[in-house]
Amino acid sequence: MSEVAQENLETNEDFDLVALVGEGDKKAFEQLFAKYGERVFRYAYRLISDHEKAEEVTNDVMLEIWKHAPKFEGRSRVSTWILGITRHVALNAVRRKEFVTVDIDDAPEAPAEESVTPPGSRDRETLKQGLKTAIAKLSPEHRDVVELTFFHGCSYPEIAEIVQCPTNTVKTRMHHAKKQLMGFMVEAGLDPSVVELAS
Amino acid sequence: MTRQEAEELLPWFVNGTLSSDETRAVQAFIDSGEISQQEIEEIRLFAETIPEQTNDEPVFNPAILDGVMAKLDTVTQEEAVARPVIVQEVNRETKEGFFAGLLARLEWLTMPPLAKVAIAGQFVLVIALGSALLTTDSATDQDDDIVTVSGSSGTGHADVQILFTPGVTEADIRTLLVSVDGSIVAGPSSLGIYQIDLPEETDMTLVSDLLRASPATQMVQPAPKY
Repeated sequence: MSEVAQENLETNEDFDLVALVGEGDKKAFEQLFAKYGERVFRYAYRLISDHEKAEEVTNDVMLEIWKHAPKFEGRSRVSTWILGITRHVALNAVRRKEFVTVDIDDAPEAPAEESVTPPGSRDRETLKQGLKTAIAKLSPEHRDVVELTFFHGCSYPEIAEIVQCPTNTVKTRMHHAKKQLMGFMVEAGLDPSVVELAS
Repeated sequence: MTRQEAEELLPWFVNGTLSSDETRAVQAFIDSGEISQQEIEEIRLFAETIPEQTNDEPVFNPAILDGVMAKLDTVTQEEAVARPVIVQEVNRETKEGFFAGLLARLEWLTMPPLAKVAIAGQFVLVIALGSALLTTDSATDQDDDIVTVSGSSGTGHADVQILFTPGVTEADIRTLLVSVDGSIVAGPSSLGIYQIDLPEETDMTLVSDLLRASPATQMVQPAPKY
């Protein structure tokens, strides 16, 4: 089966699940949780960086899904719908609890001060560790776009829908995120330009 | 698509979510070398690294579901969306007549504006083609009584009428008519009679005799003048 056919099949299965949830089917709800619970938790955690609150957000998101499922019209993919709810609930939690976040305008342009790996390392694993450290330094908005792209496999129109911004803003944020990540890595003594050699 | 636009799309090229057109366009920039393999590899490093769980990242606890299930009955589900749009449109058809019904069947009201323009354009095209076809048919009808073997259309005026011998070939008829510089302008009638036009300067008596003498003809007579 082709990837597209597989994706369509999954999409249809998801729509069916949500439709059943909308009719009050608790078994279908459990299946939906089994499929999306971890993604919701990890997205929430990466947005708010708090384990306990991420679990609370996951709990709240699932209840929101239960509540709103009857009105889901299938205009977007189920994953897009769920990630959109997650983002909304997580950011509300941040506002309520006044978590410390960095505004996009105050996002650090300056690279990291400390070197996490020996300068000049050309080992791919080292590069990856450096990249993980660098990602944590991104502003929430930039990190959000990067995570949704590479962790959740979203298209840029889907990201625009989830984060409620124009598609061009998504592209711009990704561009700046990439630039910052490269800067962080270079300052950390890593040279991303050797990634091809290290692979 | 410019190189910069293609470069902006690289993350989604790597995660495989671009449309087929976008994918082809970005691939073209890669194939031409305008986007380097190095840039692709950097993005691939992101794609490979970001899904990996970091050491300090907590493990997902599936028991969250228990807490959710315990609260499920306390949450009232919203009412489902009213009847599907298509059902509402069908009902409207019965109330508002044929035209409203037609719009409903076409889901005209819920259709995106560009789709409306496309359908309207196609409708106009169909009307135009239909009109052209009818016009052509009318012209053909007018020419129905003018049939020539040689392919040249006559004026409709015939000088003689000929009944050819049964079994005569088209080649024989053509040879005979060419010999007198005549052409068929109508026929055959229900009796098998052809109307033949001859040049103005033709000696009708002589040519009629020549035609009668031919074994290809059974009957030759002057055409009636209207």
